[in-house]
Amino acid sequence: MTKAFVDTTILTNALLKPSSNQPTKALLKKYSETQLPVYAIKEFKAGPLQTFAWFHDKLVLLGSFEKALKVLHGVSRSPRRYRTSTAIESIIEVVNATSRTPMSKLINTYGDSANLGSITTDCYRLAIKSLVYKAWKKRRKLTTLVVQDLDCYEEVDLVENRGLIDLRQLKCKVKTECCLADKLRSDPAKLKLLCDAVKDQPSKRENQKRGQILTDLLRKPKLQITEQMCRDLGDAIIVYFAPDDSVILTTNIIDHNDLAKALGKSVESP
Amino acid sequence: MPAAIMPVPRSDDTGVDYSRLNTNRQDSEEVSTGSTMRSKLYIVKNPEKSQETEASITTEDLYPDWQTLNPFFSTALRLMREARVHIDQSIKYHSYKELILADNEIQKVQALLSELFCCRSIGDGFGHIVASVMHALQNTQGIPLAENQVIAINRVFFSLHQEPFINFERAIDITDILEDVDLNILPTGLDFLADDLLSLTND
Repeated sequence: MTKAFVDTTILTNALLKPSSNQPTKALLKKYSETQLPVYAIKEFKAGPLQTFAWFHDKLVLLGSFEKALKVLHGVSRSPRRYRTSTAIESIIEVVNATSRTPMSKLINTYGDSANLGSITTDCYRLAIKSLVYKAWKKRRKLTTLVVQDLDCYEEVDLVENRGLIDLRQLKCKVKTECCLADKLRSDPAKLKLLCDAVKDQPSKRENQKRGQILTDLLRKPKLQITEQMCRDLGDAIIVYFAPDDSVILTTNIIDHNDLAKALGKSVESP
Repeated sequence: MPAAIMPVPRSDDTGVDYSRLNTNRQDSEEVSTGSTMRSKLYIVKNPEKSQETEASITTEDLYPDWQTLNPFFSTALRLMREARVHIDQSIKYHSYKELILADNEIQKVQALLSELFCCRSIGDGFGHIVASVMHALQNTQGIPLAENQVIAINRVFFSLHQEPFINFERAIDITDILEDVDLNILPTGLDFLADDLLSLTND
């Protein structure tokens, strides 16, 4: 097969995860045609990109990398404090070691700008800011095609406001219901296969929500699909709309595989 | 006849590619003033007989009142000039295959980058470019740069010296030059941080 359909995790790996972008790009190059649905762009902006912008803003407002990290580790369920702390120490060491004038002396001239904590904070803040801006700028250049525009979603560019990154529009502007609703309803047999596959998956919260929405749609075909329902369908949307002759590219192979198999589609991971 | 500064609309306001336009103009020089002033200027040295002029304008000429713009601006210009001298020397040594001497000049650049980064209140575009060069050199872990990498750093510094108030998005384009020659411009540990942030998204 030479056609690939790209999900949000691939977009994230290629654009926001420096260590993963080479293998991800190599995987994309295997295919002569790579399609990125706008749904993945929407999920990417509202999810990973929003998190990176949030952390950037935290650095701006707290002015301290250590304090921002504490917040991050406080809200994360899987913190890995040790690794990041080691990384900060290495930056401080390098700045100290390479400067021809001792940093303590530079403080006399430059004030807080020469403070090692402030330097580290700004090094990371600028790096994260560059990742966010670059990711948004390059989102449509990663694949050979961007497909399946969403009538209710506009890709509004991000702006900087008082030093903070404003991603502006994250959600769809739904008038009556999600613009994908009719297409989803058009093939109940496919929905049934997806619904059965979801029910067989581990009972994670996201699978439960997805299974419930699919069950509701099958029971009440005229049920209005809201923006939230569309978001909760997540992986099921990607698998449903992937062309039959395409391979779905994702890093979340466990979740996608069951769904894809149910519809006779295949999945590949970097 | 004194020089006159003639404002020209920004390219993104009009859709006109002024950089190309500028290449064809013999009588003037385009100077981008970066995000602070948000406009591009043509410096016309002789408004009446503009085709007869040859003089060039330096960044220092463009910002005579630099202290009102940023207190560290003149230090930044001095350090950038110094860096460019060393980079030029390094390129010269590369052409003679004097690799140790070439690397020695780059080490001198590396030694002034921390101080140059202290001038980052000039703008995030400026800070991003200086930090990128700083990380690029740190990430080589002491292995001397190849000639094309030194040339890339030269291009980056040239752009920064020309346009210290560069806006952030343009600065990102400039630092792409470094990535194109396989220099890693991100700080160490950013991978770990990215993992932590992405795990937060997945939670």
